[in-house]
Amino acid sequence: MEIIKIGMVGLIGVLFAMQFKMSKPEYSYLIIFGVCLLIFMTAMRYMESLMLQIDSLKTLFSDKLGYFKILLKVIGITYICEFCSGICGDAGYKAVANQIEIFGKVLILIAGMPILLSLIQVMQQFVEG
Amino acid sequence: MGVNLIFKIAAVGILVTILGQVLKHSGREEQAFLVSLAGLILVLSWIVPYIYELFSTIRNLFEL
Repeated sequence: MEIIKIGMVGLIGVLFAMQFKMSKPEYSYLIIFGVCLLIFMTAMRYMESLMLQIDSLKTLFSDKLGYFKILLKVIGITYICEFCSGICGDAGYKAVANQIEIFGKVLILIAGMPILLSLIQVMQQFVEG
Repeated sequence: MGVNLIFKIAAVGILVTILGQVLKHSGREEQAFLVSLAGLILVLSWIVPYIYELFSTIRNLFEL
């Protein structure tokens, strides 16, 4: 049911933005920005309820809670990175969008590095053991 | 919140376009530019709090 509402919001926004495409392009981008914000905020609201269920998973990861935090961090980074680069790309500034993407990848690499190191340690134990 | 944000932005856009045309044809280019600038700043002042709210929800949701 919610998907119909979201689809309607998107369509309304696009129809309004098209009016300003020729005369005032900055307003069409602002409208598209507003629509993306609305949809993304509703997505975050559903993500919050999802998070409550995911918390129950935390008991499984009880010993390696750090990895779970890194996983959440990476998801957050990708969400924001995708949102901002989409807006910049939509406005026609592909270069900025690519820079944001590259920066997001670097951040994810940095965030995921501890997992990689611990994986290598585990493998070393196998080899030596 | 919600859809009326989009309608508000569209309304400001239409108003600014009309005012700009009127001012432009009556020979006052600078006022037309100022009107569109004012409209832009007004819409931005509506959108910025939502951006802040969105990014702060993401931050404390994913413990960033």
